Amino acid sequence: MFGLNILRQLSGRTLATTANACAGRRLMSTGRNPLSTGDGSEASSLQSENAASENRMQFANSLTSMIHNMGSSVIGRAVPVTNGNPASAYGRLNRILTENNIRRELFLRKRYEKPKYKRQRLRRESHARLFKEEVRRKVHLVMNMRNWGM
Amino acid sequence: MLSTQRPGTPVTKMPKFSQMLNSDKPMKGDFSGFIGSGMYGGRLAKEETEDPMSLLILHVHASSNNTILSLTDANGKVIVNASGGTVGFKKAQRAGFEAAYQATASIAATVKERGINVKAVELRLKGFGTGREAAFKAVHSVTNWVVMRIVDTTPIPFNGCRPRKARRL
Repeated sequence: MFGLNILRQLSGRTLATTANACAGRRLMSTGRNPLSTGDGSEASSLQSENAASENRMQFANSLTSMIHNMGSSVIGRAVPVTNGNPASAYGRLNRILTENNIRRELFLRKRYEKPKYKRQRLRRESHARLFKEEVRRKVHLVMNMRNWGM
Repeated sequence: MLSTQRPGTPVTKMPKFSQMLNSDKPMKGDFSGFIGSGMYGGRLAKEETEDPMSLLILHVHASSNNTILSLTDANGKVIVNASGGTVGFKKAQRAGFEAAYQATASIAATVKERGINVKAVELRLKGFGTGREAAFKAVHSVTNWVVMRIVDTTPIPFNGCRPRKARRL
């Protein structure tokens, strides 16, 4: 429902995919090493792998606790404050909300919209979107033609 | 993945998600993971994460008619309440900017009066009234609280209850 924007805020990774992807990559790289490399590299790679898996466990831990505390539908709208700058975090939150059209959707949901009016609105919006896209294309073409010297 | 490993190397299994759910590490209901690491969390020490008073949550319910603020501990237990009405505004003025600003100021004052040490605060904003911006500005300017996270908690139905009928028909 919220599309890819919210997933992107979660740095676009789910727990399973990161774990499997990173594990696969790391194991494959140790497999390709020639037999001549000593145990040092192997141990360090294992250590880094354990550290990385610890990090992922911690991340998963904190994420699941947060989901239990806040709710899964709210997690995408949680913005951490970095560098002690809450104003920029607030701005980021507003950007998330506008990009996902949350305000507009809530406004539409405040009053019931009968199916007839909903169909009309959707058709109108779609038409406007296509029209604007066509105009945009023509304008870009004209600009390009001017650059080519026509 | 396993076929490309050299024979004789110890196989380090990646912990499965199901294992993480079944393990007895701090998980559901224990908010210490909540404050935990990196991206979404704070940088509190280990002994502080067990104490629910170490992270306070300021719930801001900003409706179109009023703003209600609630300072709770990390588990949701309420410490202080304030709203547009508790600071002396009446009726329509409770919805304004000034009312929400003064309400946050009154919460800050009460907290200082009771001697509660505010280490980290999380803002939970609900609703899109005027009080939303006002409460945030007040927290930023009036108080000296460290804001860790800003969350938007407006309830969004995934096509739930049918709303009221349209006006003027």
